[in-house]
Amino acid sequence: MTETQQFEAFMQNYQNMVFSTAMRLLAHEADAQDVAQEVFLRAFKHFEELRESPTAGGWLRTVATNLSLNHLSRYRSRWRFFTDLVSRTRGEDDAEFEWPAEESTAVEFGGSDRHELVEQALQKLPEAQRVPLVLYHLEGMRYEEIAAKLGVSLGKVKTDIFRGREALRKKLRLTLGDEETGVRA
Amino acid sequence: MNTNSPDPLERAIDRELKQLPELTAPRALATRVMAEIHNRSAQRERRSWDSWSPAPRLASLAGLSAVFGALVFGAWQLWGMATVAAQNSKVSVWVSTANALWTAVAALFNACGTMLSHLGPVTLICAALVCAFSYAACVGLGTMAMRYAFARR
Repeated sequence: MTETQQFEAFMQNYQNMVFSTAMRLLAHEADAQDVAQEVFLRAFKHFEELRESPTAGGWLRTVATNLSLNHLSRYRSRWRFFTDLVSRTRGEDDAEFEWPAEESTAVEFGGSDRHELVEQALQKLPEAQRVPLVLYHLEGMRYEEIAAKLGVSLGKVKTDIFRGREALRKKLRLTLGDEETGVRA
Repeated sequence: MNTNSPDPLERAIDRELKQLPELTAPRALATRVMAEIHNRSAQRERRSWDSWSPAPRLASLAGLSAVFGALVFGAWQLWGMATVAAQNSKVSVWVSTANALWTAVAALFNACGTMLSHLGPVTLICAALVCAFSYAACVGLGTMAMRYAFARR
């Protein structure tokens, strides 16, 4: 088996994880593919070390996260301005959501459908909320790390994550179960 | 960290997000990556000698030295086999050809010098300014064209 074939097998093992990481941060399939491609091209340069490394997955995930954030940083000033504008002019952050009626949601969505619903809800969040939310819950970063990564204040990170959770709660209230009931009480 | 939070909403969202399965990467991704890897490795094979790694550089240096030595040795052997008279006649032909070329070039330079000496200093300065302006215009237009061509979005 040549090195290229070995790398192809290596990529098959990790491509879903890398693509998911980029997709959840960028919420744009073409951009996520570009980032995933760049991640694997960098991995190919370091394939000698990564081939047998037990931390290869972590390395790929970190590179995917960093490249996705770099990609977003090109537009950061624009979306920061935009989200500030939106938060001033709207009482709600999620007015652009279009969801099925609550009754049908309760009956139909379960298992993989529910995952799809959560995935869609996440991807439809504004970037200013989705990115810190993903970094906190899926990448396991602390608020301070997220603030440093995004170059924003700690307060803004907390506010955006809180707003993101609230937006998700409103849209997923039928699937959150007892936890959500606790929130309402 | 998140699962132990006292905030029930944080726990609930954390659980929902962590239960998400990985998304399936598009099939085109692997094809794109492998095509790019093949493309880059092909480019690497064509890169300049001074950017090669040390082992191929040493090997190629040794090989090229051997080829060069063989060529020099062969030429020396051929030179020895040729007759001196033949060589002398060839040398005389080369010298006469070089002499004719030198004469032509010298005549050309003399003609240029004569022409410039008949032009006034004002004309020469104007010509130099026109040349400088033309050069600056070309550089400026070229820079603009390159920036426009490679500008992102």
